[in-house]
Amino acid sequence: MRATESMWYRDSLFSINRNKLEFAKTIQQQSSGKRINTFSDDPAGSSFVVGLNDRKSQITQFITNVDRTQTLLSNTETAISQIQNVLNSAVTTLSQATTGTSGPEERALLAVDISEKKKQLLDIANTRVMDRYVFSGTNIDTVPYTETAGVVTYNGNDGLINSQVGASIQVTTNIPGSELFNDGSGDLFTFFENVQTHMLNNDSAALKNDVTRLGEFVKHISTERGIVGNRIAETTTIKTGLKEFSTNVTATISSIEDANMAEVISNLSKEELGLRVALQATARIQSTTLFDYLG
Amino acid sequence: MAGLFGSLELAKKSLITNQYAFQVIGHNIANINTDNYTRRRIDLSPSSSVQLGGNTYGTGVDIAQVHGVRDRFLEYQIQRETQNSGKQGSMSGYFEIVEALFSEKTSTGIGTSMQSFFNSWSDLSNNPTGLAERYSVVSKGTILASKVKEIYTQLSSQQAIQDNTVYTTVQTINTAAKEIASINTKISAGLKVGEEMNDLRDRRNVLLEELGTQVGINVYENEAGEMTVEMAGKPFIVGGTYHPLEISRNGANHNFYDVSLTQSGPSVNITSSIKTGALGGILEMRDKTIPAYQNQLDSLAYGIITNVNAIHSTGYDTQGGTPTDFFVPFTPATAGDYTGAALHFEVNPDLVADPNRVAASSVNGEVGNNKVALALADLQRATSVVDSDNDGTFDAGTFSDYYGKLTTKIGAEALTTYSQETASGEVLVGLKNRRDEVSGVSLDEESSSLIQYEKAYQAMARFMNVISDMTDILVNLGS
Repeated sequence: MRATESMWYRDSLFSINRNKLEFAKTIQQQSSGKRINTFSDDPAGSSFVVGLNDRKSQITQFITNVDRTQTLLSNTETAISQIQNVLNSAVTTLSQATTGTSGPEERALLAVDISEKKKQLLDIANTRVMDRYVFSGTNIDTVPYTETAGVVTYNGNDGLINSQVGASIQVTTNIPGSELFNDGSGDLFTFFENVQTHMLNNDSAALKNDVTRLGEFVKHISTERGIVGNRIAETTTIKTGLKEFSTNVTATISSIEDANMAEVISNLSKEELGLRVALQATARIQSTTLFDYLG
Repeated sequence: MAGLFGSLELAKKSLITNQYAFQVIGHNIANINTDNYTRRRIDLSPSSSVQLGGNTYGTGVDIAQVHGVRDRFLEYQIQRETQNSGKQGSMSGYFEIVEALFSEKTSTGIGTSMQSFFNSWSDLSNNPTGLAERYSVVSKGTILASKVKEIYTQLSSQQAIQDNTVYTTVQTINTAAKEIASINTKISAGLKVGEEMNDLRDRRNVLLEELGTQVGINVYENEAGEMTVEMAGKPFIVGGTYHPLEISRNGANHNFYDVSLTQSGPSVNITSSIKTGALGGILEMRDKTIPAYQNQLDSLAYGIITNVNAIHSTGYDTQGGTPTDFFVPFTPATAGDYTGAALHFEVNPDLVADPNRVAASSVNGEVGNNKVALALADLQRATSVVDSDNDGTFDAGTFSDYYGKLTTKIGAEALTTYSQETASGEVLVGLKNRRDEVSGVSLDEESSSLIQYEKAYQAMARFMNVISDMTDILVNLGS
């Protein structure tokens, strides 16, 4: 067994190099805060990170979609509550018109009131939120209800607009006018036209029926409001879930991708020591040949 | 010859021998940092003795031999390992670039571009009549397409750089081979007249190591002391002749260089047989690794183009226009061969010119209908959208799954190369240390030899002095 200088130098150089590479890698981890800086740092982990980032970006988009849906739905709910107000006051008007003391003059006056309410309803039915008519089905840029010569017509359709709020969850963001303003037995605007006519005609029997009919409409609108309210509650639950999910995914990404700083710093000092030792060992090689002791 | 003059002669010869030993020690020390230098050792032997009056007298010392202390087996092993380390070394540099190309760190990688693209459809589904959302869809589509195209093109330029390196490497190989062949001639001539030819052997070892770094070879020494070098199982250097490597463009492989070995008959194309050495690494990157990545980018591009178009072409814009493709469609030449899809990847120019034509609705005239936008956003969660095994049918998971697998593949292949490079480096250090244990120069050893020969020289000089005194006495007898 012989030991030669070239062996020492080669060994030293190799360990200095290796220490330096490790040192550089650790410094990169420290400065980026990430354990995975290239795919090769953890091939399986980087695929996870790609998948999880995809998941995270989808969740972020779902949260955007939920926010948007909630804006639409809460505006719809406000509109429906306004409809309820109008209908409730219509109930009062109608009850005034059907009391025994109500005569033709009074009914004629009340007819004007009903006509006014129909106009209010028409305004509400043409509510625009975020540049779209909310009650025209999918014909969102068409005015849903127009009135010509006292006759109101629906220009929308019964199309639903959904929003993706989960990987497999869609929420309907609208109620078409054809559903909201029609309880299946008739159209609310036509009803108001009829009431007006009945009042003008002083038709007590018909007005009696109208009271019953209005009660049905009040119930129908209240049901629809319930539906919208439920959807809002549903999206709120979904949003809470999404936020939790997003936090979890972010934490998982971080646990895979991020460097453990305490570990990085301890590695750094360990490797720095290793590097110093290697450098010092190399410096000492110089003074160990017999030549140094020969006069 | 005996007596005083015989002793004088003995002293002179021994002084010369010791001086010669100094020269060998000096040569050793001088070459302490020479690569592949094998230390010389002086074998001394007593000079032939003379018979005189029934007695035998020694006549001093001779140098029997100066020989290089070498271990042929270790030399072969180093040879072999050098070929490995040459390959990994050349490949790891390219892998670093490939990894940087695909990096998702800058948040403009393919992964993030895909997310942005599909999320822009989701935004459009939130506002199906929006023009800003349509501009966004077109722009995110363009960013995704150009990112895929850009990485593909960058991979191609890597191949072009590797191809140039094939050219220069072949020149280096031929130059080294030429010198080895000429050294072979000199060594066999020298051996015939009894010389050891140590310096030329060392030089030849350096050249063989250099050759092994560049290309996989098989080496063996014949009785004449010549190194025969084989490449891809064919003779490359035999004695004083070498068969130069030739390069020619291969039209079937992007006009890249093929490497052929000239033989006495027709040249033999050995491109696919070169597995190790830097050249082996370069060819593997150029012909296998990078084309595989490009193939996957093609499949991904084809999957996105075809699946997005299939949905988009059923949809309607807000202007009552006829349904159209979102991306410029790509038709494979043969089923399962998507070559060119990545380079072909771009948003339909009609939509770029007029983003109003982006479809969101499934029914003509229903501008608030967002079913097509929803379906396109949902495509990011759809499985079986990429043909991963080039059989003509979509079979992989989601786009993101497929891309994730590609990053794992790149990472794993890069990691293997990096760790093999480190391992190979470590093995080489070990082997070279073992060689130096046998053949390397040790300053301690040389300095102690120096003392040894110096003492012998001093003693012999003193001996000569004594003989000289005695001769003086003899000459001055009686005066």
